[in-house]
Amino acid sequence: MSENQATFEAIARREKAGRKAAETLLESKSRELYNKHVELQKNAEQLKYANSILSGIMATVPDSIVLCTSDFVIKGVNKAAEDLLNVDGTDIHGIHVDQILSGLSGRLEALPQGHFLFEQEQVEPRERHKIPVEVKGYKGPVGSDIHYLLVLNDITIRLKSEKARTQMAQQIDEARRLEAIGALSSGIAHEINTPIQFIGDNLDFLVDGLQKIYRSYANFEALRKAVSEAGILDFTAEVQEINQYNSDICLESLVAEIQDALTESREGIRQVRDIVLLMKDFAHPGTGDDDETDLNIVIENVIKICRSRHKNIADIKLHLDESLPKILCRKGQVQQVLLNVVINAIDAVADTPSGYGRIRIQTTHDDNYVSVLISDTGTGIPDSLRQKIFDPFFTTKPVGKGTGQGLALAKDCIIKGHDGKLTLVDIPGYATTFLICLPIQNQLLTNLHGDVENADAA
Amino acid sequence: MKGIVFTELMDLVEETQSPAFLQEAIDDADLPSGGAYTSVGTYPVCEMGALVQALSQKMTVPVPDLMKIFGKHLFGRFAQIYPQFFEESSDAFSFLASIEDHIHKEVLKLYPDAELPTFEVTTHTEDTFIMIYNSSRHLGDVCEGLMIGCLAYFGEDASISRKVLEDDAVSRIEFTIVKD
Repeated sequence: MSENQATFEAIARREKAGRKAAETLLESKSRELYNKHVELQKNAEQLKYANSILSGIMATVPDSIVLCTSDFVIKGVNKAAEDLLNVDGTDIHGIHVDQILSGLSGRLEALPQGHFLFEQEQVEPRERHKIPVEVKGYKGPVGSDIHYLLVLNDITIRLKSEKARTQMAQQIDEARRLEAIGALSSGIAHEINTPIQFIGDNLDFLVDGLQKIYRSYANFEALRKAVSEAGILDFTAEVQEINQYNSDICLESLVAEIQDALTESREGIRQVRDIVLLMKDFAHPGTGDDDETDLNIVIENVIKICRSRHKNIADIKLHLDESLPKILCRKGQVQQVLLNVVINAIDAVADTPSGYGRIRIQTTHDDNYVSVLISDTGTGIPDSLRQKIFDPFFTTKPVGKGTGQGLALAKDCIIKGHDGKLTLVDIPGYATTFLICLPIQNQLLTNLHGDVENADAA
Repeated sequence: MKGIVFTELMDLVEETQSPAFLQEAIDDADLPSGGAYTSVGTYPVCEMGALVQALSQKMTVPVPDLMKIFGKHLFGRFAQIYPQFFEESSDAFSFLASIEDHIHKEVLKLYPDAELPTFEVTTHTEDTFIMIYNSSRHLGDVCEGLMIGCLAYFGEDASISRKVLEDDAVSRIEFTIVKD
């Protein structure tokens, strides 16, 4: 082997070794690259999964989420925020937060970093009315920069509920107040009843006494005339003095007026007594489980009780069925129901522009039920409220006037308590007509009565 | 075909003959690439055919015998270059059974475009191993050489028989290895 050949072969071996080393290195790097690629793919998949989860959360979370930069430019909103603000996501990107929440940026700027809460703000959706929202959020780094993350929660329903709760609380207070007044009325009625009783008795006594005095006076007058006509000189002066005085005080008419006044007073006191007795009856309706009741009389009493209320407001006409059978019912409760419905009718008539109208109360019966129709020419009940009027605490009357309990209790009493019916019906010529039907044979009360009797027997 | 097959063949020739002998064979084969290969490249399979043909003529060794010798040598080289492939196998049969699911997967990581043969193991007992070789390269002899190399590597004695199932566009050969 020549020296040159040996040199070339040495070079060839070195080059070949270099090539092999390069191939090995390339393969090693390729393996590293592959492993990195696999790792990257795994990370990319995790990132894709995390992104899809985040997108899913943002798309489905019920709260509206708005992301703003530190200079209050909106950078992103979720689906709920798009719906709340009535915008497409791209429409709102880049606009200032004050355009949707007036003046919010100033207050956000004043906040330290961290979480915050504004209990009630007004958001301004595009082409819609303002919506009350609660704004919770975070001020601080999101990613590499300071951001504001706003979470808006529509509180319209909550505010309505709070308002309804407040209204209900006021109505409960009103109901308690009326209950207290009712309890007080019972005591007052009791206290009034005694003096009314003796005033009435005294007036009777005065009328009776006056009649006797008048009879004595008539005898005296006959004597006076006889003396005067006989011309008995010894009594001329006295007779003239009596004549003069009688003439001065118009004695005859005075006596007649006193009689009239006493008669009127006696009549007035009777009325007061009747009302006081009714008040007592209302305040202490008794257990009344099986009161045999004439609804016609109950209705007449109800009209008497609320006479002061309907006077100059409603002309009440009664069409009472004279052959109406008596029914077994809780008289006190039924009386209260009828009073509530009649008072509602009077209030409805008073609310009309003229402030005056008619109320018609009719009783009828068939083989199974006695019925009472109470109609009025008042303001009527809109169709939208016809289902709600029997709900507890529902009232259209101003706070302090209505408790929202009247018709709810009426429904409870008539339907649950007496197995009866309470409905709205239409009668031509009247705005509202309530129909109350009570069974002539009340099975619920009959059963109750039977149970009590059985218990007593046992 | 992966370049490592070319470079290992040329190394074998250089070692057993001489660099000049190899160069003459390359010249005889009139290879389009001029015989410049790297183990990490991919080259036309026809160049392998031409080179093997030229070597066979110069060495006066039949092509199948030459390919078997080369296959045996190649297995030994694989054991040197890729020792990690042998760590989990304790005998020739278990190694051969792992080629398809383990070694080929690793190869494809580095060379996703590699067109590898497939090995379908139909019998794997303590004494007998039957495997079907599928390839469009028609290198059944190299495959047999590799099996011989494998048995030698694990120090096992066995006889190998082959049955050609198909020899058209695709070569399907069933190899049966029975331990002595």
